[in-house]
Amino acid sequence: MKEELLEVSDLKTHFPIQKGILKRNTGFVKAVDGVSFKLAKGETLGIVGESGCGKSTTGRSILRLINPTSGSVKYKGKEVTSLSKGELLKLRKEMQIVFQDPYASLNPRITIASILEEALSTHSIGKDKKERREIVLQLLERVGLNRQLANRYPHEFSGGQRQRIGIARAIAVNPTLIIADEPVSALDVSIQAQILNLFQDLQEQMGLTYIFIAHDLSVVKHISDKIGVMYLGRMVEYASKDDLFSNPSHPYTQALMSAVPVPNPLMKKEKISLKGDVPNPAAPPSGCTFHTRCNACMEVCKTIKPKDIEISPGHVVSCHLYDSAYN
Amino acid sequence: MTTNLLELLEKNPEAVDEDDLLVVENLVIQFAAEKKSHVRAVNHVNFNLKKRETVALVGESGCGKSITSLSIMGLIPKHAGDVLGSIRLNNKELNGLSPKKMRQIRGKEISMIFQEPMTSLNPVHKIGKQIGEVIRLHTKASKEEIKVKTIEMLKKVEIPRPDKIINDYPHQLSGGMRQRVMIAMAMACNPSLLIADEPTTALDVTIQAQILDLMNDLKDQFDTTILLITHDLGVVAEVADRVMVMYYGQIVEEAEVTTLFTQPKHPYTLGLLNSIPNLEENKDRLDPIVGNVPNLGEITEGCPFRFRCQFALEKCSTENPPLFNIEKQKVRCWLFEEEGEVS
Amino acid sequence: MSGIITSKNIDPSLIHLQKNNTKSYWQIVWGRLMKNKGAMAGSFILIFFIGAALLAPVLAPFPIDEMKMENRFLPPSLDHLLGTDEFGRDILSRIMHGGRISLMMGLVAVSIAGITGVVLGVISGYYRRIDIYIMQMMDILLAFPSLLLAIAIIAVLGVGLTNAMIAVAISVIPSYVRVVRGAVLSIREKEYIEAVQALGVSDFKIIVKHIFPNVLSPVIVLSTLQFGTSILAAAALSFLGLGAQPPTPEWGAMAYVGKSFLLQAWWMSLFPGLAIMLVVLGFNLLGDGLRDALDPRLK
Repeated sequence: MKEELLEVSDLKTHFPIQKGILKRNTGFVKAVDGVSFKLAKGETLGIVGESGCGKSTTGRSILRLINPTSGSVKYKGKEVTSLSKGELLKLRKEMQIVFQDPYASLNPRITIASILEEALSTHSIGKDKKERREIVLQLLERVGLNRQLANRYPHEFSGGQRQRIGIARAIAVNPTLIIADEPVSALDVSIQAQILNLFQDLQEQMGLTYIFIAHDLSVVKHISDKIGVMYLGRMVEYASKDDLFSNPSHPYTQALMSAVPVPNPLMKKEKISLKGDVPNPAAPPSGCTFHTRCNACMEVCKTIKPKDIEISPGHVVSCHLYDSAYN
Repeated sequence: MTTNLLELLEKNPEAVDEDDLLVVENLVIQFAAEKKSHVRAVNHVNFNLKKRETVALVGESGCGKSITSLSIMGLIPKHAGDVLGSIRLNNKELNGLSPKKMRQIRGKEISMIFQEPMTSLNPVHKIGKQIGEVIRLHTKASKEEIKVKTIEMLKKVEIPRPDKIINDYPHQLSGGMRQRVMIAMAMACNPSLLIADEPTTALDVTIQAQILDLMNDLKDQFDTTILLITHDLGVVAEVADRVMVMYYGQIVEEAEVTTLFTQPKHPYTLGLLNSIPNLEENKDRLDPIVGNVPNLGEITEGCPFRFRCQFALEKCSTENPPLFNIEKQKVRCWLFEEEGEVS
Repeated sequence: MSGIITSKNIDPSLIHLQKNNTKSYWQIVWGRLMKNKGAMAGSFILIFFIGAALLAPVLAPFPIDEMKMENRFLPPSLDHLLGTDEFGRDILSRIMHGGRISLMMGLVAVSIAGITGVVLGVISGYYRRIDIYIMQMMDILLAFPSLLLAIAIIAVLGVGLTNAMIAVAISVIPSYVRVVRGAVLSIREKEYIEAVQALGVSDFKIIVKHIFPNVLSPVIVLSTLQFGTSILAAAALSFLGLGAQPPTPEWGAMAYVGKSFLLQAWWMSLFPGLAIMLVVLGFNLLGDGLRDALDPRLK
């Protein structure tokens, strides 16, 4: 039995919609609305979903870059949502984040060495400047960059190289968990694969646990052990990678899988086309939020929110189709 | 695999005998750089598009694919860069036409859709007005006729309640809907060539699938040729008949879509195919292309891909290879010097 | 087919990067500024005036308060390059000395306004809860025309050079707060700020190390432009008799005195006025040049 590292239960993050000069709350965007999962050390959880499904907010809520509205996040058995400022600093050393946009995620005014140095000094890693400098150079080599480039500014690097620097910053504090928010989607195809391999290498070397957030199902499939599919703030299906792909159960998962174009012209797969667009998260549909686009929609879906149903060990689906009460 | 391909070709003979719609010859696009030198974004590109064909132009950022399409549209202003070579649509030379003449062709004979529909729609005008404007520019239709045609176009792109939507502003629509509006605008005057520059990149996968389906349907309905510009090989495999791969301003490989995916020849094409994770197969690790995409002007001689190529020969560092023809496939690589003949 | 190309961690195309051309942001900005003709012209004017003001005690041909009734209202000549005033004082010397006062007024007003404005702006942009209060205060200040506001402040504080500086400074603060707040708002949304927050870096360090340097360039541009405006406003106050008082050789005050003798001694008002105009022009040219050079689109 692997050690349980992270347990998220019923996580909700709602943002108030404010209107008028008095900034009165007129409603909430339920960006994350009841997400639960467990993650063991050394595993990779892929979170996949379309824009606005709340996958990035989920990641930031776990890190407490955004304070969640309710629910619980337990890291090594300790509740994260109620940590004080001082305790939060210790958490920051354990959990790190890699961002999507390698251009926006590095301060253009400072050299990459001082970007990395800052991570070290914040957590008092390394005795003095000299020792930290040596660690910085090692970090650069570790992510496949030449140590002679340490005194360069971010604008002198290509997108792929900047993403390597972003990864170096994340591993600088020697964390256990890294949340990677669309880390390859801004990169060219040939560079994506390099970065994905780097993630895998680092996981092997450092025993890292990943939460890998992406909209690209093929990327998520490639890197993950477990996959959660999100739609409008809810995790509609959660399973091990093999279970999910051999037996995709939620109608949304099925549609998503069939919609991904396959780079093989000889294989024409049957497509499940979804009607319409993703609804506005500020005014989500009643009942099951997916019912407006679902091909298997029943009457009950329009009014009652589906429960999470475990259809086989570790395979959870949030859909009335699998609820014996309605079938 | 080969027999499979031959069968496919036999079933699809029209692709061979049709007239060319667009012929691009020796296209060079260069921009002024520091110290009176030039940087070539597109370097001697030749291709032709046959009628009713969907051809994909594939490559990574900065490879020159978007610039190529802009030059076909005549959208590269004189002060910005030089466009040399010949671009012929139905045997009519487009390169060098006056801006006024080019305006008559744009929207009527060639039209274009872009990656981000929000930036190509004017936020202060209603949808109906913007589509109507295109029709008004190129036909002598009356106000009433324009309105009828506008609604008809919106129906063709499967927009629900078109009579309502014409009174909406772009920001009231979702990304997918806006792209449909863009397609309606592009197809309004029944162009013979549609250039689609990353038309689905900004969209979610489920919406992407809808838009690709729609483009396929419309192509049959309107007898349009599509030049699809994309970096997504999955999209290419799904919609293209023929594929051209670009790297550093040159076409490095050109082939029928099945040939390209089953027998890629250029090391770059091979590398791209190996780089992408595939839903249908399991790989523990990907085989990426090493190195970075070069910046324009960075490489001046030899094969521009040699720095990232693991098959690089000595010759590659001095001489840029020509395109070699191997049956119906074209490859710009010295590895195929023996096998192919220079085109 | 697969497995031919092997992955390596080390990036071979870094060879291309080996050219040693590392330039910091400020080096790039400096290079751009040097190429800007307007900025260079502005700098030239400013260096001329600042030099003249600094060296006034050494270079000025006459003492500023030496009155010679026989020299009253002398037109520009070789003896008195810019003529003399109603007490026979040399106008060139007075303008050189007056430059010290005018430039000092600009400097003090911009410094007071700049420091207060940056602090308020950063707080307002970074701590959103306080934002609304600070901004409403600024909106109230902005509702008054700035010169009128300055006059009102002087009405409270009393006439005088120091009070004029304070009045000008207060009327300039809102423009700093707005600019700084806007810059902070856009920077705090950047992912690199989130990245250092995720590292646990303290708010103070984030502001000092990551936000402030990015706010600096709009502040520099604004300060340069405001320098000119403040000098103009201070001169205007003196011209109205609310700032520097005669016999202080302040440019605005000199122009005010000369106004009474405009028909017999036009040089008394013209040259101080010209000095104000040139200095303001200099600051504006430099400010525009700096704005182009510091363009954030530069990556």
